[in-house]
Amino acid sequence: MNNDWIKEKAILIVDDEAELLTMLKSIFERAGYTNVMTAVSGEEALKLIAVKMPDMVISDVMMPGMDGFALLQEIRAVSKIPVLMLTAKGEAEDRFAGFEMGADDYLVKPFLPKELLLRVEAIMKRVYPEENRLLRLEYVIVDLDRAVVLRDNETIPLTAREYAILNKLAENAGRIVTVGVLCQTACGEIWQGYETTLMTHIRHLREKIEENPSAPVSLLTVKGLGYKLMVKR
Amino acid sequence: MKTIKNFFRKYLWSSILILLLFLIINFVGGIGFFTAIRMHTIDSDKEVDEIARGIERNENGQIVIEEHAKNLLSDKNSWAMILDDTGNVIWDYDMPGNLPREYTVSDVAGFSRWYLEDYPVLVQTLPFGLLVVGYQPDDVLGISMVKLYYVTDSGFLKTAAIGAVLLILMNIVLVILLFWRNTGKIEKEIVPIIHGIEEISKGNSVELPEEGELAHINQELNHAGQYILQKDKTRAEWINGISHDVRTPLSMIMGYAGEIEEDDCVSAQTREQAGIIRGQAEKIKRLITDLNLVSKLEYSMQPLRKEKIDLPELGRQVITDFLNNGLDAKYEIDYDISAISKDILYVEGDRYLLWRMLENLIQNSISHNPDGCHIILSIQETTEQYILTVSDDGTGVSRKKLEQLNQGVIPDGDYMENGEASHGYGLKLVRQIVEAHQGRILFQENVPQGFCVEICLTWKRE
Repeated sequence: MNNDWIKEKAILIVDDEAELLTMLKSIFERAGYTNVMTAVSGEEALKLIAVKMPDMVISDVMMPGMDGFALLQEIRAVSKIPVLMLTAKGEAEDRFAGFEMGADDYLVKPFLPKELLLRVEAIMKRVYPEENRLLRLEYVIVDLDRAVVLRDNETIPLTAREYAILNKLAENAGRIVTVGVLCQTACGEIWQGYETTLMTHIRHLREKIEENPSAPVSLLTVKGLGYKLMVKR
Repeated sequence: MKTIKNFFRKYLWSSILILLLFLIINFVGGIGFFTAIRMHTIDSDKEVDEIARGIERNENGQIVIEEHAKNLLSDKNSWAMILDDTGNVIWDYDMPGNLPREYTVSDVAGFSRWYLEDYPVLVQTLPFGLLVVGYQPDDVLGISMVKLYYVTDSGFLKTAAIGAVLLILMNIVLVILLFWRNTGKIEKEIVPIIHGIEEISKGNSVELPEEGELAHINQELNHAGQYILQKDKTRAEWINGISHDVRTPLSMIMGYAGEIEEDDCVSAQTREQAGIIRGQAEKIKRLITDLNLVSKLEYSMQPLRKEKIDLPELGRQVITDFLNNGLDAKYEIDYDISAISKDILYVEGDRYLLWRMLENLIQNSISHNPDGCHIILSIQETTEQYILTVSDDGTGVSRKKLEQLNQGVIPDGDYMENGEASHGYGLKLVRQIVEAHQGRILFQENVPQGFCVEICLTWKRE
């Protein structure tokens, strides 16, 4: 999938360490992001937000003055834009507090640039789904907006669950998604005992997207762990 | 020190006092006892003398008894007789009918020392014969008599015997009670102190009541407990602080190194070097995170956030995380949950900690086998527990290290070796997490080679 539309999204990075801020900005710019703003405090971030709401906020938790959680609360009061928290603590309590207040994700410092970019991309894809999202697989193209598989001249509809599963796999294209996560995507928090049903859905999906469902090349099984969707660029 | 000296001096004095009191009570009791014996004992010479004086032979050769002597006899239901030189009774007063009227010399010798037919008797020589005074033998207090060395009231003697037994019993009870009380007092003061010392030696704080004779010592112990706790807390906070402060610089190192590593404009050699910097920074990151968590678990500063955990799924996610983050091709991870049932079971545990536990075990196998290895995470199910095994076919560890790992100590010289081979805090943390979940952990050799860790965690049913 082409992710260029993501690169145009406005990202606001908030951290009290100016050097870290510079580094983060350079990481995003090198990755192709064209609209990256920075703020050295929660207060400054709020001022920038008041002028123009960014598409995403990445904020440190521990900052002098207004901390990351306070900033998150201020943002949540006016907007649902995705917020990723950077925490130096890596402690369970930070994660819980962040999630309760509506953070979309967190990343524990120190982290690799790759990790950060991946998280941001995943959040962006989830929150700002691409228009005319076309998933190019080996044998078919999936139109995610219409939830149909385009095969030769045929249009095969996906069921709601098949769509949810395929969508999750597409969000993590090229990466393994565990059985549990897929079951949870298809049927919610209480998913235990759903594994066999998941296998049925996967079989149906393969019938729709693979040339030979018994020798899949797009929707691969990773033994004992889960599934992986291979996408053509 | 002064408190303790005073404390024991006081109890020494009270012990001496107890002994003195004991002696006094016995002395008084003894005197009372002998006085009573004296009061109930007839002065044989005096009594019989008086009776003898009241018996006379008048001019007609008749033997008469005066009123006074009669009273003396009838007071005690006593009787009297006079024997002549041949042993015949020549006079009697109230003499029981069943007694013989004639006595031989040996009879006389016998009863003058002891009894005449059960009657305690006293004798006195008169000018005209031998006066024999007999007392009642029945055990009546004040009337009947018994003949010992003294001639004593036999009813009283029984009472006195009981009294003596009571006196001995009282002595025993008194001694026990007094020493009991004394020891009890010491116990009451000392026992909490000993418990306090035991608690402190376990690294817990104590709160002893700061009162009583040894309040001073309790106070010191409370201080010691708080001091140790405070020290532990300070250390944990210090580690926490450092691990926090080091994160931002590490982020920068990892960030820029990662950037250079992927920058096509720099030389391959520089990119490789940047990769090494990045890898080492990641190692430092793992080390400080482990160190911080170990110290927090050690001092119970990390509360467990228990929730229902699907262990097989957690295993999948941890392995998937390794695979998705680009595990080097020389490592292979397999997941074997073929032996678990379809039942819906869960483990009550802290998701973050259990994740760390599995991550550390797999990371341990990776770090210790730089040439690559095959890692297997398997989960089996017993009637009560999940048995989780992480094994590799790598170089394994020595017997000695296994022993140390199983004892929960960080193996000797582990940090002397290069960073690659350190088992240190990673496995210590695993042990702490297992213990925090009331589980069991066993480090062992894998067959034919490698390292194997077995963990048992109790499952629950929905």
